[in-house]
Amino acid sequence: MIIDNQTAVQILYKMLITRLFEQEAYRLKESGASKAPLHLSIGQEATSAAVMALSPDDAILAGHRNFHILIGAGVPPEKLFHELIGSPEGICGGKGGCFAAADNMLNFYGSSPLAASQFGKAVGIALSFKLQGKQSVVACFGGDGAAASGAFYEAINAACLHELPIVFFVENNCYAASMPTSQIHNVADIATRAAGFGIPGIVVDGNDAIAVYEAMGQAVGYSIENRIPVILESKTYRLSGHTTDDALEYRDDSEIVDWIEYDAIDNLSRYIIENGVGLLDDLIMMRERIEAEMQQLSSQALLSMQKPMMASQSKTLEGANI
Amino acid sequence: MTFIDFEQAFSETVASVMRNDGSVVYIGDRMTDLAEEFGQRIISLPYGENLAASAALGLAMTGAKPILRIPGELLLRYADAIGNEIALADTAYDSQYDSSVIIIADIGYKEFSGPHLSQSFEAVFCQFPGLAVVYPSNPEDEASLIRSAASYNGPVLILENSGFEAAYNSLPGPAAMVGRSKLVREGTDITIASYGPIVNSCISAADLAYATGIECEIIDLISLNPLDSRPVIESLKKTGKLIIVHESRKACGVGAELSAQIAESDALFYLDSKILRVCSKDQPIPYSKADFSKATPNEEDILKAIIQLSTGE
Ligand SMILES: Cc1ncc(C[n+]2csc(CCOP(=O)(O)OP(=O)(O)O)c2C)c(N)n1
Ligand SMILES: [Mg+2]
Repeated sequence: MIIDNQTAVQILYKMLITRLFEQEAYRLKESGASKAPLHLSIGQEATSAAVMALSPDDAILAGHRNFHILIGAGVPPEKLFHELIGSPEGICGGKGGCFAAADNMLNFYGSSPLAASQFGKAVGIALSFKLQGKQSVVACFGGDGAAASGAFYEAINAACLHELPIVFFVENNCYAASMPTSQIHNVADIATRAAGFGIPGIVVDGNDAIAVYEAMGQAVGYSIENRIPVILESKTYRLSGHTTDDALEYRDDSEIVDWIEYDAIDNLSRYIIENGVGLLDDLIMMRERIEAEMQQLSSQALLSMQKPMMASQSKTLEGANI
Repeated sequence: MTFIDFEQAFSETVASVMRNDGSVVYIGDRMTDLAEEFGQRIISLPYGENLAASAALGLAMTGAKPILRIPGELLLRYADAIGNEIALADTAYDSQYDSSVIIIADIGYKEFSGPHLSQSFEAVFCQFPGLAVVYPSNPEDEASLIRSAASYNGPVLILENSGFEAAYNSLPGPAAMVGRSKLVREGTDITIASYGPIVNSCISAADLAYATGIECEIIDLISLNPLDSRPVIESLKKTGKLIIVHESRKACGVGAELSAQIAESDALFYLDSKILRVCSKDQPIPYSKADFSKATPNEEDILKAIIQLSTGE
């Protein structure tokens, strides 16, 4: 499959929104507007492309590192800024926080800050779809760490027995918190776990957004057609810390530099320029526009939270005058 | 409708609820006889407690009404998905998705079961905000509670103890409901608040006490979370004396919460003696009949408490 130009640009657009949203979210948090440590997906934005390969009726689930998946699914960034600072205009009314975000308009069935809780839920959703005769897939995203939990294997086993189309997208970002993946799995490719279930296990270069988009499209097609789950493992790298509070003492700078040089956004930008899909100037302009927009959305979110506070403060002052 | 036991109440009621509402699905392994009638709505899942409870939530979020039947002794293995996901989903997702899962578990103390298979976790699950917990004393109430839970907005844990040796009393009053206790015997001297099948032992103890001229009022709490303590408070206005009876251990039990709610209410001033709690000993429940009966409360213990309170000793 050769990806069309428009899709390539749309993917880059989503990836850039994710990156620039996260950078702005970090600033917003550092300003004191939130105390929640953020699980940024910087370096892993190509996963957005996997979400974009889905149809609107497909179900999406994610773990705690979810901004790229939420934005890939189409959640408006302003709803995430609002959620981050605990505003009632947030995607979950400021009640769940971003790591628990859900959006029923987009069939995004939620995240959870507790690892591996999405896998069993995915089975229930796929069972529902089967009862309803729906031909949709359930896309269940999780990390390499979560893919070592019993819940992951329980869910795959059940999905096989019930012939459920679920794509278990394992985002292998080389770490689970401070633990390197090599200390978590005894195999180099988590996708090889699929063999024990008799299902396909696919490995894709997670920093090649086009490859991710295409692999996801194939995995979804295969899963629906054959009514079996598929494991799709994307090899990528978490450029940011586990959370924004992470001092990153457990890894070498040289490793990070290598991966920065193989950054997914740069890779896709290069593809777009080299194939004459767009000009460097266009991409720079796109980036600047998004950056300004993120700053604006973040300031607006902050302002909307401050307004009621200022109103209540001035009330107190009035009271004091009497 | 009367049922001979919890099992019959359960299976007949679930079948009837499923007939009335096509969105109800059943997850468990005891309804194979209904597979023909309900087809794919009877779901059997491979072992995996997190799987079953999480799948139930996934089903609820997509328009199904799942009834999940689980072995009570495994409740703690399900507790993660129940307490962390099912009970929290409504708040965390700001009510965007339904999370009304009905979970039915057979818990409580049973002779010849040993410590692992004799556990009473109701108070543990009352610590999960967002989860309603009910514990019927008899099969008719269980049937009513399954119906009530099926129309309740939110997850409900229905507990039962099928191994409790008791002659079930078909109790008077309206059908049992999530959130409501029930006055099951009127009396003027002592209030007894209890729940689960041991309510039947309270009734027989109260019968014996009646012969000696002591009239006990009995409230079957039924709903443990939310705890419907108001009728107990009202009853204390009349009796001034309270005995709380439950099978599970005393410390941090439902009785402790009820005592605290009484102490925080006006009922504190209606009390004319201390509150007594009749509960099991604070220890794992042993296997043998002799050791089992030493550890768990019975009719005799309840009667003793009644006499103690009425004689003021
Ligand atoms: C059940 C559970 N265990 C442990 C944790 C603590 N924890 C949070 S994230 C994380 C690592 C998860 O790694 P991975 O699944 O690879 O996801 P990543 O953070 O790399 O995206 C751990 C251990 C948790 N949140 N939940
Ligand atoms: Mg990881």
